[in-house]
Amino acid sequence: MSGARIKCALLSSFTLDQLPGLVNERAAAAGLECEWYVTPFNQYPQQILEKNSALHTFRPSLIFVAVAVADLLPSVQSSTLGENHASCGEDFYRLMSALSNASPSSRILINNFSVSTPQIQPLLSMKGGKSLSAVTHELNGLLFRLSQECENIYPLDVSSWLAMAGATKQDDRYFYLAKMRLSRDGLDRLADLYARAVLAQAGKRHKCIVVDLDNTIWGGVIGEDGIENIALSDDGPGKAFYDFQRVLLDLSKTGILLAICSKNDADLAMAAINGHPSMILRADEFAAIKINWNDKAANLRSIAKELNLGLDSLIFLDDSEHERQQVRFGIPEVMVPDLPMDPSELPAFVACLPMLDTFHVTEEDASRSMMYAHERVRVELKDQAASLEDFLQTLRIHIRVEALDSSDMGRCAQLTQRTNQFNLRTRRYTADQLDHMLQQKNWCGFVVSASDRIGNSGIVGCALVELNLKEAFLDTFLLSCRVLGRGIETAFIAAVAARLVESGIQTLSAEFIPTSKNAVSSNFLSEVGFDMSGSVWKTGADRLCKLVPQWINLQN
Amino acid sequence: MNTEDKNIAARVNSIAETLLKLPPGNLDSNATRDNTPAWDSLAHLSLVMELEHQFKVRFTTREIEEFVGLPAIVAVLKSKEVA
Repeated sequence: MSGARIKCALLSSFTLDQLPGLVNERAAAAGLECEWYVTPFNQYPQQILEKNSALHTFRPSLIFVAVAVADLLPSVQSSTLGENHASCGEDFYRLMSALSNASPSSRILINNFSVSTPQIQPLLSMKGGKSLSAVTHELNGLLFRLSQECENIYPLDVSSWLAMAGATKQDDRYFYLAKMRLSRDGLDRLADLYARAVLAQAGKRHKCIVVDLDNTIWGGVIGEDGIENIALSDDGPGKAFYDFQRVLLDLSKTGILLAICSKNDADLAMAAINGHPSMILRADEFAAIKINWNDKAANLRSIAKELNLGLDSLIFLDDSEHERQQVRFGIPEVMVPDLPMDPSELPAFVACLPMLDTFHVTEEDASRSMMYAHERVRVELKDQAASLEDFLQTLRIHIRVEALDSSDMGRCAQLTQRTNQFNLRTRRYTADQLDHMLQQKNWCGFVVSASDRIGNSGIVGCALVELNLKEAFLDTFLLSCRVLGRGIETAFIAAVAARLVESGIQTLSAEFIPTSKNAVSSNFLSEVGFDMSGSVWKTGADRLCKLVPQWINLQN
Repeated sequence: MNTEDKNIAARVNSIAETLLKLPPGNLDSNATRDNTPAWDSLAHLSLVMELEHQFKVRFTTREIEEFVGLPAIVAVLKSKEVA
């Protein structure tokens, strides 16, 4: 994705012209470029309402909206309001609904509202409905409503974000001199937040956080202190580690994998992980576990390999400066941040790690680490089995192939974005693009979900097909690397072909576009019986239907 | 000007050049907002913020208003006894 250009628009009721440059600097550090459209001073309402305005013709991917309460209530100077200000919120609400409708393929990020004028009678600031604080509260309620009604609206809790970062929101000198409603600090922190949105939009996201154990996810050294004496508790100083684990668990529920890389006695460490009463992260929460005395760089490489991840999608957290240096030197691709010296800072630190953001959390995301933990069990079974076929038989694999519908659009888009290995053409789509494609009569899509006796893997693959009379073209055919090598790809194409035959398709054509990562799918088409015909592969659709491997139970 | 003052002037000059996106050595030490096209109100605000950050000082609104050129800025910084 490097070299991608993200189009951003900034709609603001006050001077914020410095912001794009600051966001650009941050995006550039991640190899991204932004192109900006900034509405002329306080002209955002016209830009939204005019059909062919510069804003709309720019077609931004991201629209940032920074509007101050005081600018919605221009006549108000004091913090106590008269009766006639109830409508300002409704006006703003209608304006944002209009923006959402006019820009269905943009994500609209709206700063929440906060009070930045002096509070008169602060004891009464939330008493009754006439104060500026009360109106601000109502406006934020409207933002929340908008986010529920309009899928592309994302309110940003900028006031908490700035407060957490210790940034002063407004510097009144800049405001009086230049109608600028942020301090220098505030501007930097807002740029941080906006840059996170840019990175998320570009799909720049770390996929796995690898943690050390001693003095990282608990306090103390387990080999010396013993399980009962490590610092880890739901109360007191040990709670910092407990909360740190909590944040890691919350992150894993958004699709970030967790893994362990520790020099330790494996039996003792696993006894603590699974037995310590205050341990939040049990073995099941970790996608990969490397507890041994090997070099950490080597362990990280094997974690990346085991999880089928690029080294640049790992973050490594270790309290030891020595280990961090070794890993930085050995694998420069891995992000290795310095950890705060004081454990009390760990929870906030990990919550703010960069490139973990996403605009969409799917059901699969929430259980991703657990799916990998299940995968570990499968690998153990495989090692014990007499033959590969024996192993596959004992797994009792069930797959279900269904037409792609709107509820799976997010997951399907995510698969097209993430799947690099078993992916015939590596076409990347957003959920909106998929939605648009499938509204056309000559397109159809399928998803495959898989389960076996170890666990449910959820949706693991998708096919997007373009129909042309009696011929169908496989625009996209991909399978998550997690389930490769079990014949699921073959069963999937057989099921897709069967569906297509039902709707009158006779010939299936396909293409393989090689990338640096998809060699594993290079022979698939010939293996299932496609023949090269000109520049594409073709085969009779009914021939494919019979290919379901006998160890797979295909449910329809 | 003594050495210390020269240092302040040189630092201000270099900060201003960076913010105005001018190649090093292209901004005269007597440059003013009037005779420097790149020095618009946006650049002015950024310059003030950067100077406050780098010299760890806080200008008053009046001082910022009176920053008509580099010599005025250097004079205010000197009056604040920045190092």
